[in-house]
Amino acid sequence: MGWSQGGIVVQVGALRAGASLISNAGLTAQLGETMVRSAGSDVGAFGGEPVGAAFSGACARGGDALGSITDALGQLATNTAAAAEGYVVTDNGAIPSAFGLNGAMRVARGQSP
Amino acid sequence: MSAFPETPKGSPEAIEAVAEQLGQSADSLEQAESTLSETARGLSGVSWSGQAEARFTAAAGGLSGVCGGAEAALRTCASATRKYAAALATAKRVIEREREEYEAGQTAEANAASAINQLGMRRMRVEPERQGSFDDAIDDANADLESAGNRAQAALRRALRAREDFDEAQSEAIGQLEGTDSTTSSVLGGPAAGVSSGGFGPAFPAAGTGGWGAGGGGFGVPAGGLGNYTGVIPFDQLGEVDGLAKNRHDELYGQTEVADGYIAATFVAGPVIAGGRSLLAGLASSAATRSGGSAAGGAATTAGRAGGSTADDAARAASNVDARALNIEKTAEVAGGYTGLPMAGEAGKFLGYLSQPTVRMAWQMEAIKLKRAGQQELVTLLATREMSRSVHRGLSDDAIAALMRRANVK
Repeated sequence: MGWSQGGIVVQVGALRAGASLISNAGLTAQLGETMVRSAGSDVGAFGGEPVGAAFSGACARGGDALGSITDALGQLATNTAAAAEGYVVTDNGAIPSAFGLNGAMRVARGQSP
Repeated sequence: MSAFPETPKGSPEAIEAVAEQLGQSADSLEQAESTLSETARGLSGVSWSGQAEARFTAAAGGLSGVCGGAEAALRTCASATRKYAAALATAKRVIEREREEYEAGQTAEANAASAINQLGMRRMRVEPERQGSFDDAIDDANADLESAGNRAQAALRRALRAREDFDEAQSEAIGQLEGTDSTTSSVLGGPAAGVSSGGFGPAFPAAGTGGWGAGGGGFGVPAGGLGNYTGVIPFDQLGEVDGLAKNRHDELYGQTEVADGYIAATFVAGPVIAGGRSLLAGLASSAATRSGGSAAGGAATTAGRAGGSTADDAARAASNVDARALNIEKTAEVAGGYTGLPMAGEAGKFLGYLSQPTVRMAWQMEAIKLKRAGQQELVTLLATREMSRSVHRGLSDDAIAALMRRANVK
């Protein structure tokens, strides 16, 4: 289901699916973050050699980096979900999709629903 | 003479295991990259056109690139760690083997020296005509001494070489893990990919905070969302919507007289209409799951408290829906009040369509539907709360089921 107005084209179903996929990507990245942090906590494997500290530091920075990615994906998924769930982000602002979906906006503009 | 090198510490097998975890993490990032890339391509142009779509595509594509950069960095780190584990295993094996050889050589050397000493003393105590046989034995012992010394030295050299190889491998691994190894920086992804050159360096630019569209740095989602106006209204933070919208509106127009209708129409009502119900449904579902799911379990008391608390939250949210439904009604009234007034810019456009009778009617219908939905949700949630309190009181499943039937909760 979708709607259009002037230069704005919205297909709500596609956005909802997109939000879901982006959210899944975020969860996948979060899984990666967990694994990196878990690996970094096992410095005992290195027996106190200097490389152990380097490994631990790399994992800590990597975990932080993946955390940033996870956060960004969360934001993107939220935006897209908002677009899919009724808070449509367009070039002309945020429009309640109820107008687009039930035809009210098009009726208001003199178009056929 | 150099001392025999110390055997490096650590467990190659355990290090292999943590390297494997990094590899699996890289696999996850590869999957995320692929998902994002496909999503960006799938939504681009087809479902959402215009500037906002372009920003979305750039954000999703940018994040896909960042995931790719992170994946490459993780694979580099995993590879460096595996290589180090292999170098450690080799060094341990070689140095321990050569230590045995070295110690055996030293023992043989000491034995030969002792034999030479004893033969020399005995030689001095025999007649001159018998000393020749001792001389031969001493020569043989000297040869053994030299051979043993050579054997020990060769073992020491091999062990030192193995240790040097290991130290070199360790330095290389540290360089790759810390991102200071110039030979691998290109593999790790440049700044454009979102991963600083060299491992997981300290700088990881602007992943979704600021970045895209906010100063031009980094990538990702701008602080205000994807659209010209803010697009980030998490449904669990509805209380913040009004202030956020008003600030944005004032920033754009500085016209407080049109703010009420415009803000309510574009920022408040949308999330309430679409998000309010899903929020309530989610809370109700959560409450039911958390309280009912563990009724027979040993954790019933804890679950009951959690369920009760969630139901309380949901009930408050349901009440909030009523208040927001009233806001929507007011929005329609406000919009009606602006009928015929000349308005410029985007605010004027929105008020223009808000002032249409059909639109106002749509708003009012939405308000009525929302109120009904809110009331129904409230009934359900109160029943859910009662159920969760029953769990807390330790009622039987049958008693809870009876309560649920009475409350018409399915």
